[in-house]
Amino acid sequence: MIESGSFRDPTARVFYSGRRVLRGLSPDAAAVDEEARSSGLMEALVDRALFVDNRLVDDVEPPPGVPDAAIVESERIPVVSYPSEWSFSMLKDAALATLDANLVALEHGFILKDASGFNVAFDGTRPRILDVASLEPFGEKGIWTAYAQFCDHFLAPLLLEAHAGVAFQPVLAARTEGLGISDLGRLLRGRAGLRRGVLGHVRLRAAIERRAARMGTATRADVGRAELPKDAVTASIRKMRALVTRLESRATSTWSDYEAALPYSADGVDAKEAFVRAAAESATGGGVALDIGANAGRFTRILTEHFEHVIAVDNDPGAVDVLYRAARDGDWDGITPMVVDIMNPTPSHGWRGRERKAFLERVRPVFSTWLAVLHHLCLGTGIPLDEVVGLVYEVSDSAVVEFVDPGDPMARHISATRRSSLAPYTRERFEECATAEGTLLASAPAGEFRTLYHLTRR
Amino acid sequence: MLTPLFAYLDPGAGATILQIVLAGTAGVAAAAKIRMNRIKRRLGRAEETEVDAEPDKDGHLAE
Repeated sequence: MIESGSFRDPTARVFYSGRRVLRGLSPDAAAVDEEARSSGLMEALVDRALFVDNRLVDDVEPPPGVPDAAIVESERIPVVSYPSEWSFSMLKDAALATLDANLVALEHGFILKDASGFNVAFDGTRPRILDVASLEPFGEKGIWTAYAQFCDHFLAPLLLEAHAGVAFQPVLAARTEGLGISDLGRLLRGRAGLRRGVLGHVRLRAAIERRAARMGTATRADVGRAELPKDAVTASIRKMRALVTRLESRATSTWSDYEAALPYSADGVDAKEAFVRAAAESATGGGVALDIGANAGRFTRILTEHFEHVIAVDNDPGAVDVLYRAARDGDWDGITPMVVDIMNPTPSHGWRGRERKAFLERVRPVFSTWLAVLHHLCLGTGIPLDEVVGLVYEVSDSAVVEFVDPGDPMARHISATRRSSLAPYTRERFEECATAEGTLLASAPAGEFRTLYHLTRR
Repeated sequence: MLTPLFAYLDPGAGATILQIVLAGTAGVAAAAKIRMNRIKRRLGRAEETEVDAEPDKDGHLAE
């Protein structure tokens, strides 16, 4: 099966054979790949965990239309996440991995021909470049061809959040080609326009773009042939690295604000842990589990004991960032954090509406947890219980759901300002919906107002 | 030496010029070359390069 999103580089197409991820290379691309391997570059990139592990194979016949001068197999990573599903630190680490891969490549006389955020995916908390065919020879002189793409996919969204305090995720979710530098320039007004990195990469760039648009074709062709010495390109990528390293998010996290305003009830946390552990144990071993509303990852870690991999999603980028940094710095294995709003999961997107896959198409868990989520969906946004239960069963066959009674302090807080009546939201109604399509395997109280259910689809 | 014949990404004129500008002294030679060609063309001493940009039979643009 050919990957529908891999048409941009005609010299390397991605296809699948069972669970194997493969790339068919054209004769030109195969020659470059051969040189990248013999020079020791590919090994260096894999050793430094910048590229996914990959090797040449000859036991697979590519589908018709796929170049076949060489076939490269890549290690399969548990889930491919997209830039709009990353927290600030994740986008920053992916940017640094892209820059570091370029620096390693330049040492070996190569460079990366593109710098798309979609080329990177998180293997747990480690950003790795998936497109192992993105190397191209550089020689002694050249230009960083992917500079503008790097700005659109990485630098601009990071600057937006660092200097304007605006979360980049919704922007990147809508714009799969990244945030254009000229649009960013209009968003960074006043003092933000004078910040580090903005003056050169945004203001000066915009002024030059305006002049470049008026240049004659002959001069543009000269610009297209311009070259810088390798040392100068290396220095500019190092400078970009220093700039990115110093960027910090200034967006506010709704969850951390919320938590400060109203202490999250620690009621029944131990009971909750025990229930989740028992349910995870009884779910068939292995596979991927999904923790919805993971927050700081307290229950995510329990799931890692029982599943090959756990995807921890939350709609608050600030909470995901806390979880990501804790997992990255604490060496928690087997967790991929993602910023996903289950109210509006990432749709399929891009060219012909299928270049980038929908979240629910990429993530097929065998087990999911919905802890302290229901009252937000039902009381906060008015989703009827049967709809929520329908989604639970669509996501995974087996799940743990926490029902939060309308009398719970947090539930009362959420619905305090609501005037109109909602679809029925009671424990009885929840049980009715859950048993219409499935079976309740277990239930237990967790504190005064909360009940845990382990349910399975029939 | 292998050449990047199949770079599918357009680096963009503005982004290229900015790289030359930000390179400082290392970019002087590249900037001078572009400027000199421009001046020469204005004085009518260099051939227009527009014709060179015609695609060949395979649809590739000449270097």
